[in-house]
Amino acid sequence: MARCLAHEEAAWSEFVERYANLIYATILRVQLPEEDVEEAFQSSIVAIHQQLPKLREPERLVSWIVGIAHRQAINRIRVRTRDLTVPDVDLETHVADLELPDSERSRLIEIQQVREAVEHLTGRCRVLLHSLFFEDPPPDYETISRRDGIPIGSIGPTRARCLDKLRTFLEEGGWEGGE
Amino acid sequence: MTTNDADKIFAAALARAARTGSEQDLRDVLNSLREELADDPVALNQVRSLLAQIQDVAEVATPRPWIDAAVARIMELERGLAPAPSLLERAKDALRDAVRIIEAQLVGDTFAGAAMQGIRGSAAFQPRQLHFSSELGDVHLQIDRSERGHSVMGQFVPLHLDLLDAEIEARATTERGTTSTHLDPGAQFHFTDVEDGEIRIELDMGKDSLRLVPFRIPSHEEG
Repeated sequence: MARCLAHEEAAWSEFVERYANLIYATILRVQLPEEDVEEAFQSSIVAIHQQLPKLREPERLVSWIVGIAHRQAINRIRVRTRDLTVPDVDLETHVADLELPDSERSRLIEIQQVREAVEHLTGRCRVLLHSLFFEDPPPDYETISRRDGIPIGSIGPTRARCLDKLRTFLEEGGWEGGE
Repeated sequence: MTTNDADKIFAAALARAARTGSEQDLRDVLNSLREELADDPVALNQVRSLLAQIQDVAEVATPRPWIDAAVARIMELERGLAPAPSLLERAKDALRDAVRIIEAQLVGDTFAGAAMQGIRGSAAFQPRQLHFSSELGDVHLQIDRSERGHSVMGQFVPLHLDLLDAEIEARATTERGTTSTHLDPGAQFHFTDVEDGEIRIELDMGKDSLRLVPFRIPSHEEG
């Protein structure tokens, strides 16, 4: 954050890469028409850039980003509905119904924690979890074994150990397991 | 998220594991999870939840062109906020071009010569003469004692003819402050009542500025 505020372009690039999926996931919760999702995504990035210097509690950064992305998504609905002249539609009531519930906000924050924790893993665990959960289509065990140098018989037990390692790391960071 | 939701997602994660490996691999996963977590229902629940969240992480992927466009937009905004280095460099170059500062080196000082020969006492009765040289021309100074300090007379001998017609201002800076005078038609200048101590003389020619290396005028007792 400090590097972003010091106008380091490389830091902003890292920032966007790191939080892009959080912003995207938050906007998807509002169920906008497809063409509005990108608009909301780009305007969220610009709003974050403008407002980051005013953020008073840096430890709440993730929650703050969720709030901004959600507002930008709602703004897209306002823009769309403003152009419609339907007298019986109370826009503000409709928008109020779209407020992000606390449980949803917490879930988005926890998912970001998991996202960052997976990126934090090193070595075999990072490689294996990426192969197992992030590739589409998922590679078969033979491919993983050959490519990542893990014996086929070890993939299952290694997966369990890596998940446990990830869970421990998250717990140390205050993750509550989505309860 | 309800327990049912977690179970469904857990099942989906395992089904995905089943697609990627053999039945034996899947049994390995289940067995290792059971062995490690059977006695710890809280931990088992956490792993279920973790698998669900990993799935969420894996399923949300922002289209790459959107990220690239966002980064490009941020760069554009950043460049609007912070002056681009090239612009700063151009400004510095323009400033350097606007006023060229040239230093004139001391190449002769009768006072220094007399002091080296140990005849400072007799030299004290002679005016001190200094000779400075630069790419724009030479400057000769003569320093005499006066009742209220020293008199500094100078002459600029330019190397380029166009400088003969230039309007030149001479500035002398001492501890007491800065005084200035314009060079007369013979390119001469004169400062009176100059006190002891270090003196800096500069000839301002508009685009160029000729600075003599600073030198010291000793007090009557030193001289």
